[in-house]
Amino acid sequence: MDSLYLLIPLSVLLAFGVLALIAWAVFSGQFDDVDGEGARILDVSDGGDGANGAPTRNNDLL
Amino acid sequence: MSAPLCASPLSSSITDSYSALDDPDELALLAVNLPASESAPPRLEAIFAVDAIHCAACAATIQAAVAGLADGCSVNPASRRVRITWNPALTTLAHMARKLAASGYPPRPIALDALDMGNRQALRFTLWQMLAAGFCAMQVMMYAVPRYLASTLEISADQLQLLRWAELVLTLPVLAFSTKPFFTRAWADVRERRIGMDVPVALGMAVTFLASVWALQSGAEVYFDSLTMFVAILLLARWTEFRAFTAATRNLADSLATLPRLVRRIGSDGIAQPTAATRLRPNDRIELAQGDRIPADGVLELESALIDESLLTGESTALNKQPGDALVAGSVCLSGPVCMLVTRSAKESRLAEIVQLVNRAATERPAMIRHADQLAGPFLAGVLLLAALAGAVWSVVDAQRAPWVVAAVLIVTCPCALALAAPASLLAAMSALARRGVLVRSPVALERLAQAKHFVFDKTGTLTLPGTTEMQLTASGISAQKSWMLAAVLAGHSTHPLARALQTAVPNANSADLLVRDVKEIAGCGVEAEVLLDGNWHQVRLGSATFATNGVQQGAANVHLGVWPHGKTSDTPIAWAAFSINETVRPSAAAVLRSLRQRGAHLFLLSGDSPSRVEAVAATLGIAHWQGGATPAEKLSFLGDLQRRERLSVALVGDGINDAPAMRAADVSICFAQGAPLAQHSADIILLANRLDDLAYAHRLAQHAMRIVRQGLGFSLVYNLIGVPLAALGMLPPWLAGIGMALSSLLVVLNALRAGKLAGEPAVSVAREAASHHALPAH
Repeated sequence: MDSLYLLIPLSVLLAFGVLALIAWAVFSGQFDDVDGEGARILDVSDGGDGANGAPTRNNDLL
Repeated sequence: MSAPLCASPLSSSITDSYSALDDPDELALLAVNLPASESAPPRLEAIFAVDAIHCAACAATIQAAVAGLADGCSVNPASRRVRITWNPALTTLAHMARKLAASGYPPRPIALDALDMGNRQALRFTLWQMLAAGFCAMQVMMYAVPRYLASTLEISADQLQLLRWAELVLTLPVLAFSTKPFFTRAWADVRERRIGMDVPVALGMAVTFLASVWALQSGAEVYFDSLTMFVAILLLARWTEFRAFTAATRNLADSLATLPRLVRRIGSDGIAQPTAATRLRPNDRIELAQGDRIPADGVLELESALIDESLLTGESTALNKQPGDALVAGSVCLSGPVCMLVTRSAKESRLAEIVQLVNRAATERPAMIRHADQLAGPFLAGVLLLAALAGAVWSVVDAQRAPWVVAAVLIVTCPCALALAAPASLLAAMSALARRGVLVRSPVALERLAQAKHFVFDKTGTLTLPGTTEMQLTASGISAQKSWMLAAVLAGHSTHPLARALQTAVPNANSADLLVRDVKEIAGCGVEAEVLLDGNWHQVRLGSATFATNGVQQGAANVHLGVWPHGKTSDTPIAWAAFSINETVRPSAAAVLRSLRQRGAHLFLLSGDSPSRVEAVAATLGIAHWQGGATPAEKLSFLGDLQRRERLSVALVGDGINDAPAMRAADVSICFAQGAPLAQHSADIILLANRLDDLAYAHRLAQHAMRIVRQGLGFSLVYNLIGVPLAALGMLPPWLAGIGMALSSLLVVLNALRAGKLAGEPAVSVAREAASHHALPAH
């Protein structure tokens, strides 16, 4: 059980890491349009390959 | 009327109109500059409304259309908005707009002032506060579980202490990010020496946190898990409320943004040129294609057209408009191409007036919340007192538990539910009414309508519609033709339904034939003017028998004309004429009156018209109490008597302009808009569509909304009566108090949103959906 002395502080650090991840996701606009993403797969013209000029979402700009 | 200019071939395709987007002036209205950064050159950003977006899958097609041109393209399928960022050195807005149009999604540019650029960041921050609190609460709970479950044999005391410290560390981000709004508002309240809703909440949070830190030192029980969970649930509840509420009250207020930005104005050469809608002036002529939204108020010219006015009136059936009929901004032209003459620009249009009225009404406070405000102070002061009292008692009984009891009492009380019940329900009802074309000036009017027991109706234009075909004329001392002309010219200065009927009966009355000066409309009586007849100025009056002929003439006629020598209106007129205009009872009147009666309303008919006509209408509709020939002063005293005698609120349904004094005296007043500027109406509730059914609907919805308000108030009263004693007795742990408070306010708001829907009524949004569907340009 002595490992808890290390694991508990580590889990706190990990939690802060996750918090930072949430902050990044929210403030880069990942949740701005939650309805649209699910329907993108239905679109036939987007072959799912971003190399040939298919649109990429540049959320940093929005 | 000038030469028709619409004869030119209507060939200009809508794609050509996008060239106006590259006009620097136009671009300045549409696009915002994004400064250069290390990774990107300077860019521009603009917002389009794309009506053709019907599902989330359209987003990819739109993004593909501008791929390689735009720097960024974001599509919101819910609001049907597309935001485009581009580098002005590489491409132009017009080019991208044409690409979008070619792909089947013709865009409409949206002016910058139509949206709030700061809103997005604020929304993201609210979401972040909620997610951070939620995540930390879960993690803190993980550390707290061993304290509840494990015995001291299974885990050592210093490991438990380490877990408590971990709880504290993860509570700090919640305090730092998520509790800020509560503390900010509570501090603002304290600084202004008032007790707001957030004061007990913030105090409860502070007590829980400080007592837990103190307990951490002394090894007593900590409540970091309760604190973080309380914050998370409260923020979740407020987020859900906010989302549900904006969805339910999305109304006419954003409809100005749906007006087209670009129109095809017909120049003096008869050729249509794309122009910014903001540059439209009265007397401009514009061309409307099939499916175009009408950009300004105006008059239809040359050809008849099918017009969908559902945005304004909720009427989903298209109207067949004839040349000369009024068109209102925001309605959709379903047949085309047609030509219209602009009479009022978009900024001064009926739609703009409506939006202004609706926006202002949304900021008005219902009377019930004013009572609630008066109660809120003592209520919150009582809560603070009770918390202090419970703390004092418990510090004697069991000092360890005292802070938790204080926190639970502070947290469990839910003034949120009390404060939200009335405004949320009434706003939901008001926006539902607005979608149907019923404008309510203030929530107070809705409360009064729900309570109204006496409905006093005006006759002409309210219960009856003036016919236009059968008119009889009796004249003395004046030729029939001259009296028609005089009457039509004077009627042109009045908004009274009978005056309008007279006007339409004499379509070619040309005011150039008659010299008229000093025209005055005397509310409730008629119109007075000076007219040049046979080389002399004469005083002419048009209106009721008493007003226009000093009572010389009686009988069945309902409009009278009297002529006097200049300045001698007290004598008997030297010439007079009487017009008998047929009226038909509104087809829906009987059903509406029956619905009102079923709900316990007493009906009265009060009219300035001749008693015989009033009696006939009263008999047809089965109204037992009626009075004819009422002057404005008599109408006032009739209302006053009714209010004094019965002590019940009185609703007046009538003409918003001619009955203005009586309208103000009634507890709540309802009128038809009749095409006059809304500001001229003194009624509390304005029916935009010419439908009497809307009155019965508004009455039912108002009563429904008030029932829901009472439900909300009753629920939160019961909740507090149960919760506060339990908390004070120490039977409610802070975490349960937190859940109770958050859930109770969520429940009240979600229930309040039902106020916009009446059981058995079709959803009004269907009509609006149809409107936006029609708005798809047919190219």
